[in-house]
Amino acid sequence: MLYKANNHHLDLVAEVINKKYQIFSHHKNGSVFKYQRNQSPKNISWHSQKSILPFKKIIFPEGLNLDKDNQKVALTGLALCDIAALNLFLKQFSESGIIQKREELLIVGGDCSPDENCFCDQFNLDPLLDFDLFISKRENEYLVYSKSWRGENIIKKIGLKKSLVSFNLKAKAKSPKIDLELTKKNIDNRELTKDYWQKISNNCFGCGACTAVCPLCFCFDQNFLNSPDGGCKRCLNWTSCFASDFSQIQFGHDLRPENTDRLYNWYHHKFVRGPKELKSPLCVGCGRCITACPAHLNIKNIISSMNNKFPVDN
Amino acid sequence: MDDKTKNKFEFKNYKIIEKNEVAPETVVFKIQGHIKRDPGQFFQVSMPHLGEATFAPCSDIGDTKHFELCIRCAGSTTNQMIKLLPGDEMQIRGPYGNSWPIGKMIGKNVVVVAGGMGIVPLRPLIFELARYRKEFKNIYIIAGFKTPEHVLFEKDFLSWNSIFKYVKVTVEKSGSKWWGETGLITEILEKPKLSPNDTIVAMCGPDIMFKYATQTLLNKEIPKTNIYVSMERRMECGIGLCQHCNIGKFLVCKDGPIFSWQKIEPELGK
Amino acid sequence: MEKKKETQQIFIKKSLAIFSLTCCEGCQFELLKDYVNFNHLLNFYELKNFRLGQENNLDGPFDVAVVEGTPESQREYKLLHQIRRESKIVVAMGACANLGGIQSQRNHLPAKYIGKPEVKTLYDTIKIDFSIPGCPITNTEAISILVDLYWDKIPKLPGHAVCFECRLNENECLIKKGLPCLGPVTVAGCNSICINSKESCFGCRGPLPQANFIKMKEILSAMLSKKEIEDWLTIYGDYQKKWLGINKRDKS
Repeated sequence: MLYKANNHHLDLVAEVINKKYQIFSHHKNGSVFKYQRNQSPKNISWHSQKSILPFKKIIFPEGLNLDKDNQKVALTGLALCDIAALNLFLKQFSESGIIQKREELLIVGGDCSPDENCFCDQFNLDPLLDFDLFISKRENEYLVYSKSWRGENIIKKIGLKKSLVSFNLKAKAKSPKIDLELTKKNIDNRELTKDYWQKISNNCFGCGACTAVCPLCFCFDQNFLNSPDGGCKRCLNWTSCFASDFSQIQFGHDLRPENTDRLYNWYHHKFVRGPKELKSPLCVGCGRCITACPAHLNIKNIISSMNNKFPVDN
Repeated sequence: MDDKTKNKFEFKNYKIIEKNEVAPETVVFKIQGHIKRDPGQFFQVSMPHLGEATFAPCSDIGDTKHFELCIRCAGSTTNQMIKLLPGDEMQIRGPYGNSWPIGKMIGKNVVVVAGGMGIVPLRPLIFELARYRKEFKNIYIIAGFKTPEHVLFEKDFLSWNSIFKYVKVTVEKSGSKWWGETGLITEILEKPKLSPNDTIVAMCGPDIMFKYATQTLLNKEIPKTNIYVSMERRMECGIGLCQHCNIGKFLVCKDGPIFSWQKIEPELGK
Repeated sequence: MEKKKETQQIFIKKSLAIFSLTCCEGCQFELLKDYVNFNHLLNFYELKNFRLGQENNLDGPFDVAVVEGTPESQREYKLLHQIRRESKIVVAMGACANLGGIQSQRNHLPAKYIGKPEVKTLYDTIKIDFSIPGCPITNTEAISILVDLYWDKIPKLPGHAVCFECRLNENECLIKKGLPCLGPVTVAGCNSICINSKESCFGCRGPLPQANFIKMKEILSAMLSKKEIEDWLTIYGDYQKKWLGINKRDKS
């Protein structure tokens, strides 16, 4: 349902949310935005900004302690791409019991201002995305779109008026969309694209910066953290499939010894294994990896030039 | 998910009641308790302060009071594990993964090929084959080891000799008291005549063995769909989350560890 | 307090020695930086030899010996071999011990200016079991490596680059801003401490096994002259030759 709201209404919304959830939103920190906790329900920025690290640092923090209890969390100001990624993230971990369940989360979307690296328009971000509220600014008012009973309950408490304006969530494609089937086929055919990946990996540091910022990179290691007082805690540490020890088995034998193997594996996971496991590519076009890459690699260009190079059915 | 456990990473403690050194740096622990499982599935075992490791239980699944783990030291976790003594406890979770396709083997010839530690996940299968011997046609068991010293479960092989038609144990370097064959496992695999269409192969060993052994079998015109291999990859979580153990688009812990050669061959090297 | 007593009783202590060869001794100070942490370490270890921290020092044997600096004099070479003979585990601490350190820059000068033998790392001299990299080392990492060693856990350096941790700390990429930085080829573990303060990474922790120097030079060449690049890559030792060698040895 679509509702009309003004600034005062949104403050009330924040107060209602704050009673049940810890609120997170984008905060400006020097020249960058960080996704951080709001200590009070005041001054929440409903607008989406591209933070360096996405929501995953909140629900799946680095060094996740396996004994902790999950907190109820409201993630506000999420752009469409982040909502899509969050949906997949929850699907991946739904049964593990280590991150918040859907009912422990409140997902609040917000308008975004795309930068030069954004390419979510290239994907068919599912219009059936799962979120609770979406807050969109119009000239002198806000539109509040609620998509779940959780969202409806919040709006009921404040008593907002319905709006009849037309409302469209999806971004319009600026350039031809990525042909996901062709991408999948090309990547799956490693023999064919071998030289292509070798060329890309010659220009890649294998540093793992892209995997750190990707909202859909969730590889982890299990470690025992030996604390100096003699105890030990089991925790999950973020890792990167570019790390030199990622595929090592006993006696130091490495199953992906070269950077080209690791780079290939990353793309393969994003566009072949991801669709097999979660029914969607593990890329939503947020462009964070493009901003983060010290080697100036661009996933969008890499995929599109691969498809240009190997255009037809092979 | 069990209601009692908070998350899928929780372990249960089991007590070790017996310990035998069966080969250099290789120990079999007999552990009290029962975990319902199928042959070929694996456990995650945790050593506090050190880490986790993946093991396939090697004992008969019909034994509901005990089970056995065969552990060779290969890193800091296993180095400490083999120092455990009877009376100590082990933290185990599982079982995970799929199992050998026993249903498909019924009424057919079965070839079991094990290279080195590869015998471990195959041993429970062989116990099943022995228990339901009449359900299968001819059963061939072929195992290869480095030296006679490294031969695991020697007694079992001797007793299986009386049950099955064809039991061959081979070593690469033979010693003075060696009773079995000498040579590579693929050379032994050449010998028996196998009928292509009603033979199922179950194989476990190092990747390099798969490469040559499958070639031998394909030369005998055994279809790829009838060759099953148990793969080994680096595993962290065992439940399909951590993404360490993928082979192409398959996760060894979730889609495997047992794959038909038809399914896994195109994914190798990806 | 009672709980602490309990832990002290349970642990059978191992013996630890911390030695310093030629260097600035900054790594030892870094170990002492967090006194609470260092004190915890003494729950596990009996500190047999630590010239900087105590007056009465004992001779070996030691379970773990930590050595910083590079050997210069005959006396230091002799001491180093003695440490190896008397210790079960020898850990090289700091950039000097691992890579040669700042002093190893003299290896690149013409012999007539120095008249001294080449600076050798500990790896060139004796067999080293583990390393704690960095200039100076990172306190928390060093303590956790020593605690891991107590439990017979083989300490592992991260397999990813400083960039990974740098993004975890939500820093903007310096290279993207046109500033030189060796983060992409350097082993992580320092929590990207320099870049957190807007300072470039100088690669004190040594290169990754997968370090791509060709690409690094290509990117640096837009910002620095050829000579400067050469200088950048040899601050703590010959970045490409020796450092890579060490990492290969570390792998096993």
